[in-house]
This record gives sequence, structure tokens and C-alpha cells, in this order.
Amino acid sequence: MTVFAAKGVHFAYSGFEPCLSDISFEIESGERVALLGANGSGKSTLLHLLNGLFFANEGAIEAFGTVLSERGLETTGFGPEFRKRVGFLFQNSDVQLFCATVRDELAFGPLQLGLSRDEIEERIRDTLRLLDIESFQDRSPLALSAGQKKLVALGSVLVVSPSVLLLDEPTAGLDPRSQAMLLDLLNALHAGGATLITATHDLGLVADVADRAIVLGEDHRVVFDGPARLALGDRGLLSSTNLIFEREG
Amino acid sequence: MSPLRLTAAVSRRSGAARIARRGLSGIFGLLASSHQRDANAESGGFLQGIDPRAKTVSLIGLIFVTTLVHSWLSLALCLTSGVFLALASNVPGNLLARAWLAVPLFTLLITLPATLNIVTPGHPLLVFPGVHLGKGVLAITAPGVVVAVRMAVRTGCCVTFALLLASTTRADRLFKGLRMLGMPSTFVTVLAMMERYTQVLARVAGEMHMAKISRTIEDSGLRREHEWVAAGMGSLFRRSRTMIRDVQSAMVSRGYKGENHTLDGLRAGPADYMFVAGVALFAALLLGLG
Repeated sequence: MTVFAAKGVHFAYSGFEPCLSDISFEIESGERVALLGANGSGKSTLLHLLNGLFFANEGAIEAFGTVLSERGLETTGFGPEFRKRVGFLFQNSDVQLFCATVRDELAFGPLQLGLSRDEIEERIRDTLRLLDIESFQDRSPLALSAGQKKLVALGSVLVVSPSVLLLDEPTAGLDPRSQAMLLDLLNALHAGGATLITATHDLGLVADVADRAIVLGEDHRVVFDGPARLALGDRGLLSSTNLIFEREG
Repeated sequence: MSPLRLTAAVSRRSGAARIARRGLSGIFGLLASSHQRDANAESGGFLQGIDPRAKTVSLIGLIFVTTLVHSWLSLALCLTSGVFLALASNVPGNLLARAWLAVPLFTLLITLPATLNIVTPGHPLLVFPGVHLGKGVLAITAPGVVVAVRMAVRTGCCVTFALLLASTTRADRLFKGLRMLGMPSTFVTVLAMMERYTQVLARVAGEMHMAKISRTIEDSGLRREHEWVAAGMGSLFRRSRTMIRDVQSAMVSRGYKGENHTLDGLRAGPADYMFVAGVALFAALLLGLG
């Protein structure tokens, strides 16, 4: 089943140069895909488009066979269903954790999606247990370490049981233990059938989170779409997209 | 290093980047006071054990009654009850001192004109010979002093009750209580996010100040310092705008459509009802005394 299909997508922030040009690809259910590119190549923007937060200026993105549009997400039954099926882990946990306590944070998504109180309580319990964060469920997210914040942010996404996870630099700023824990968790989710789409410029992370790589060049176009191991082995590709830098001589 | 100790360490340095250091001290002071408030709200004092709704209704009720009473006895009782509750709730002395020094003193300052005979006529306590206004000489009068002092005491009482509410209730429980008392959900959400993101932005501002200090080799002069502060404010404003957009995206991503739904988990017990009843009786007594 095709989860996302991008067809000739162009996007520019109002008054700025285009940050995505002629982007086309399809992502199937259960895939692990890495969106690779240097800073400013448009990876995060593309994740926002895939999550229906921004919308293409030209071309279209289809999710589960339906074109993502502002109107479609707001006025039809597709919106809540899409939000239940697609979770987005932001790079900066501080923007994702806006509630007063960890528990409120986990409750936010299910409440907005209209789940029953009993089901919400059960999901919160399960998520707290899964991530081993029960001990600080009543604390303010602000008082947590970077690793703990990332776990809570992930919990706030997982609590609605999405089948697709969009991850923006998921391990940025994490200590090695937190990174390992997060990667184990993501792999367990993938083993359970989840589709993982990870935006990163950390090449060391790619082998752990992706089988396929879509590489964005500095001209904001797709310059490679194929097996991740091929992308990682192509020094010319990595060098030309500013993912690695090699001195001459 | 804790914010308080860092503040002290930063304050001791001298030389370049005076304004950056002072700004950093202020930012860490803000974060430290927030940390102290949260720690106090978690301590096991009397008011900490009261349901936030009961506490909010009771203490706001007391503030309202304090603004209505006139007699010195009533004001003394308000003051005594505030101090008693603060002691029973382990409210730190420095917080009380701030409430009882800064705010009433400021009130006294702005009510100074009321002490003059041109505003409040009466027996003169201090005459300013040679300063004529209208037909008489300018003087501070006894009734004027009474008006100013009563105003300062009343303000001090009100600030004490507000401080008791804020320092003995964790912010999230206070907001939850406000919501359950019928405050519009959107208003409370905005309040809660303001409280949270003020701290996030204060940390960002702190990092900017720290970066400035670490890169300052010699004092660049007051004018350059002022320019840097203005540029920093602009940068922080831009960051806050970006953050607003990102937070909204994060909310929409999790299903937010403009209406906030929340889990309300507060339960009032017999002790809470007794507290409200006790405060209501006390308020009736104050009103009876006038």
C-alpha cells in the first residue's frame, strides 16, 4: 500500500527562494526511508509537507491515496484519520512539549482526536510503561533532560498509535545511551509494521534507521532515490550534496 | 551549576560586558525564582495540601474582601492570617520580604500626593514653609498619612494572598483549577503556554548573554553594549515568532483544530470544603468588622 506519493512538488516560503523543487517519490507501507541532505536542503520542510502542515505550491502530495490539502484536512473526516495514522517527531522537543505535565502531554493528541476517557487513560498508562517514563509523569516537560524530553515527545506521538512516523533529526542532541534507546525503540516499532521516514544529515544514523535513502541536493531537488547502502557508499554523491567534505590533495 | 550559584559567579566578574552580565544575572534570577516556586509548591505545607480550586476561590475571595474593609482591626486580621498561612505553608522568607517591602513601598510612593493637604485636608504633620499652593502652605496631613498607610497595608495583604496562591500551587494544577472553575479553556491554555515558553525563551536569552560574555575580550563601551542589547531583543523576538509557528505546527500535527480538550484530574475532599467554609466565615467576620 502506498503511504505517500509526492508528484512534482514545489514549495517556497512566502517571499523566499524555493526550498523544494520538482520532488517526486512514493513510499510504501512498512518502509524505512531516510531523507538525506545538507542543512537547508529542505528535509524538514518536506516532512512538514508530508504531515499536512505546509502545502505544495505546485504539484501534490497524496497520503493513503488522498491529496493533502488544507481544506481536505480541516473539513472532512480524512483529517482526524490522517492525524491518527501519521505522527511527527519534531527536531526541537521544546516546541513539541507545550503542556504543563508529561501526563497532559500524552493526553493531548488522544483528546483532540476524540478518544474516550477510559481509552485515553489506558493508552497513557501503556505509553508511560513502554517508554519507562512513569516516574516523571507529573513533572513539567521543561524540567526534563534532553533525552527525557525526546522520549516524552516520542510518547506524545506514539500514544495515538500511528502507523507512519516522521522523524526530524531524532537523535540530535542526545547522549549515546538515549540515542541507543531511541533507535532500539524505533526498530521495534518498524518490526511491528510501522513506516519510518527520518530526515537527517547524520550519515552515521542512516544504517540504523533506513533501508532506502532519498537524497536532496543543495538545489532542493531529489538527486538520489535508492538503497541506503548505495547512497552511503557513493562519496561523489555525498560530496556533491555537501553531506561530506573532502579536502583536495 | 545551579542558576543561583551561576548568578553569583557571573555577578562577581568585573570589566567587560557589564550589561550582558547584568542581563544574565536577571535571567538566571528569573529561572531561579521559578525553580524556587515549583520546589515550594511541592513541599508538604498546609496550603499545598488544599485543592487548587478551593485555594483559588478562597484566596481570591480574601483579596476581594481585603479591598472592601476599612478598619485597622480588619486589616490587621488580614495581615495576620496571611502571615499565619505563609508560615504554615513553608513560604520562603525572601518571597514574603519581597511582597512586604517592594510592593507596599511602591504603593506608598504613588499614594504620596494623597498625604498632602491639597488632596486630603486635615491636621498638618509636616509643613513645607515657602511652598504655597492656592491660598495655603503645602503640608502633609495626618488624615493623608492614614489614607496612604492604609492603602499600603491593604496592598501588602492582597499581594500576600496572591503570593500564597502562586507559591503553594504548581502552575499546571493552578491552571487546571482555573479551567475547572469555568475560566475559558483557550484563555487558560494561553496562560499556561506563556508561563512555559517564557522560561524557554529566558533560557535562550541566557545562552545569548553567555555567548556574548565568552566572546568579549575587552569592554566595548556603553553605547556598543546598548546596541548589542537592542540587537539581542530583536533576535529573541524573531526566535519567538519562529517558535510560535513551530508550536502551532506541533499542535496541529497532533490533531489540534482550535478547540482545546483536556483531562481534568482534580478531586476535592472534606478538608478542602472545610477550608473554603473557614475562609468564608473569616471573610464574613472581616466584613462585619468593617
